[in-house]
Amino acid sequence: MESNYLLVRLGRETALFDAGVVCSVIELDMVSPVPCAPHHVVGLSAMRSRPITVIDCYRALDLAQPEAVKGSVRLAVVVELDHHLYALQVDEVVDVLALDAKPVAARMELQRGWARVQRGLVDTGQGHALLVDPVALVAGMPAAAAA
Amino acid sequence: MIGHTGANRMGPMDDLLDEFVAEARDMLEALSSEVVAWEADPADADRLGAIFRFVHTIKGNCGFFDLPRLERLSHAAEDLLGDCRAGRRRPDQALVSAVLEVLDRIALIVDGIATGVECPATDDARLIEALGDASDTVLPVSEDVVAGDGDEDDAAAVDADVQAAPGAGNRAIAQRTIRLPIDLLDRVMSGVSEMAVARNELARKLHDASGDTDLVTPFNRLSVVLDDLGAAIARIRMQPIETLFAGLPRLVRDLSRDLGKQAVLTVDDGDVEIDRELVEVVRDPLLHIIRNALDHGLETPEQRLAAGKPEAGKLSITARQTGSEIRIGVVDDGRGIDPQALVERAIAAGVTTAEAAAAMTPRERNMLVCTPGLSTKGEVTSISGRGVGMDLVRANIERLGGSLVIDSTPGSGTRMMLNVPLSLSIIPSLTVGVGEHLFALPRSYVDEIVHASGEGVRTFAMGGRSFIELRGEQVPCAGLEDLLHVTSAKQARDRLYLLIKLVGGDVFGLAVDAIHDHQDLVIKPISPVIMGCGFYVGATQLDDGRPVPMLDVAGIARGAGMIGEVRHIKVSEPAMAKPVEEKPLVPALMFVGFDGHERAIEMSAVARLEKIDAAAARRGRDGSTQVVLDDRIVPLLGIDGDLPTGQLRLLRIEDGLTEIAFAIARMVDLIEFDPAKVKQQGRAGQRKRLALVDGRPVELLDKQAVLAAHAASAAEGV
Repeated sequence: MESNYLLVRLGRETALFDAGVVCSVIELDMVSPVPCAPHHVVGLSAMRSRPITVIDCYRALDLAQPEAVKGSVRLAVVVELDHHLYALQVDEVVDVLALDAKPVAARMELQRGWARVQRGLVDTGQGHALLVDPVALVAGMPAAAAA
Repeated sequence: MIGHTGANRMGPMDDLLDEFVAEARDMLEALSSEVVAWEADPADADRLGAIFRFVHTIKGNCGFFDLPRLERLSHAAEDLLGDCRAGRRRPDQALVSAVLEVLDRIALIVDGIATGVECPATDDARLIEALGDASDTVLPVSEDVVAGDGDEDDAAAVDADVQAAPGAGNRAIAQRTIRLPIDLLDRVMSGVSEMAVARNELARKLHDASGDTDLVTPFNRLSVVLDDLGAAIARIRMQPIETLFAGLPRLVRDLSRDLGKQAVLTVDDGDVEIDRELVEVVRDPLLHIIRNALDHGLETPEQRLAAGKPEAGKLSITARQTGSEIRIGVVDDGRGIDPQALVERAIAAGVTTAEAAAAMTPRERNMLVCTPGLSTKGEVTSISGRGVGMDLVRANIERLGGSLVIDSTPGSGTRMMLNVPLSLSIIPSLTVGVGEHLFALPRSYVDEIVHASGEGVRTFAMGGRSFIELRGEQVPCAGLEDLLHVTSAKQARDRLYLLIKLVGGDVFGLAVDAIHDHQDLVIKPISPVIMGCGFYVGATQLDDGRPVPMLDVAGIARGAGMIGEVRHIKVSEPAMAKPVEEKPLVPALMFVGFDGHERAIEMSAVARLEKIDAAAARRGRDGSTQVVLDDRIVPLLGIDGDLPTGQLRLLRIEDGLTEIAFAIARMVDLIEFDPAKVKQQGRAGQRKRLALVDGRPVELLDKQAVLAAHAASAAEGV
């Protein structure tokens, strides 16, 4: 049975989201910072009068933010989790793929941030990409690890 | 015998019966504070009239629905009240109590009709007899006066009376209602708020594309209509919490009398609105807590005097809205919870161990009160029983997703706080700025706004804390920027302090850079990842589409270390505590005018307190102001500057010839002053009267002077 995935790019890497949880892809317009919120929370935005929590994926994955994209990342994948909307900032939305393949366990040593959010490898037909769990991504790095 | 049960009801007749029940309940609710007021002043004809109209309406409907029990009760009460109205009987304590009992029985029977479970008819006859007895005691006095007034005449007079007063009676009583599924309302509401956002975007585009001037007028019209619609929709689900509080004076009066205690109740609803769905769910836990406070919290008058407290206990009930919660506080100045005794009982009952108890915070320890079967009070009373079902209160509140917090200081009092989550919230809010950040804040918390370099304001640091001194009082304060680790853009002397009054009475100052706006904001829940930091409860969107987080005032106060135990209540020396009630104190209303000055006016001078839409006020070319009240144009005093927008609070003052409205910025408190200590100040013509209130002088607004000043300026104008 085919499943739909959203293929996104973060820096040099690509990753997949299960299209079932994705509400839309938006260009972030207005983001208000929220002082004292966790490090990976950029701030609040709104979509059709509902608040959206904007997540910086680089920070959530504990990755170094490439100089070139700093401040210019405005594209985001909006997911709804437990009745709340989150905008996950990505560099590019590459494609929507209908794939037959099931995710398989990634048997390699991954970077700490990716290891925490991945839910297996999927063959996209043009190479493999990690399937990302948005819940883990939104939760951010555990406080001890992030320190 | 009531022939209607839940199982076999159907058809149009039952729709009517449903309506009758809903109407009767509305009326009973509206009536309950009237009743207490009537008891306080049995000669009050307005109150008597309202109660009379209620029983009259009930009686009329009963014949139609074949409800003989209700008919007998209401008929008996109507007869008696009719006699009071006609002056044949003088209402006294016994009579009032008898009528109250009948009203309560009517409420029970009406509930029985609604649920299909009939209320036992055991002693209706006794109640009716009690009505007779009550009247017998006064009958001989007044019969001579109006002897010969025929029954038929009386009935006719009564009917005419009811018809003649449709305004007053029907507005409060016959409000018709319909029921709607909630998801339908939600859909309408979110539709309207999305329309508003789309409208704002369109407004920006229109503004950018200058030149299309013919679009502006229709757009503005659409915009106004949409604002109106939005305001109306927003109110559909909400109901002032006043309606929940309306019955409390009656409850407190009944209970304190049964318990042989004296309680002075103050209710501050903070203009809070509550989801209609929640009103019923909150009612029982709230009533239980109040019963508890009266029964277990407050001491008897003798015990209070012995402890150096005023004879009458204080019970205050406040409501505040935070954004995600409604906080209802019940505070008494009674004996408090004895922690030692409570822990000992809990250990004896095997609920906890000595070690566990030693490790508890005071609040955790107080929550032991909610353990089934635990009570620190020796005897069991009929009012709240033993263990008092606080376990149930807690369970009910927690089932709603809310919480119960108990703070207590032995000897000084107890504060119980019900925190009820909001499913939906439209909250009158302030938007404040610090640096480049904007935050929303529920207006109900803000008692006053003070400019750091305002007159009589001083800021200073002491013991590692900041304070502002205001009217000789030191209030601890904190900068919002320090709590949230952002940077302020203002000099210390240019900052504003919001004086925040927490549920329970603690006050602190919160420094911000600017106040941008105050408006009703739709607050939506925010994600747990933001909630987790403890400073926010929700988010809203301003007109320009900018998302703004809503501050959790209690979280902020906690962060700033401003939430303490119940403030220590001053206990006077026992020798000083002799009752001073013989001194006739004058009740007055303290308020802040639009000129920023605090003044008081004798209650007797105020015909009515009113809150109106400020759009009803206007300023003429000559600078005079008028306001439309009850379809009449009434001179408006008290405002020299710009007319405010939104709601306007008015004092209505009249002397039979002239009526004026006096605008006030806000009400401070109901106070009492000693007329013997009133001082006259100033030259003739500008004479001021100063009353002593809580040890400081407060200027009295003089009714006659106000009316005379108005008459003089009106004459000049002619």
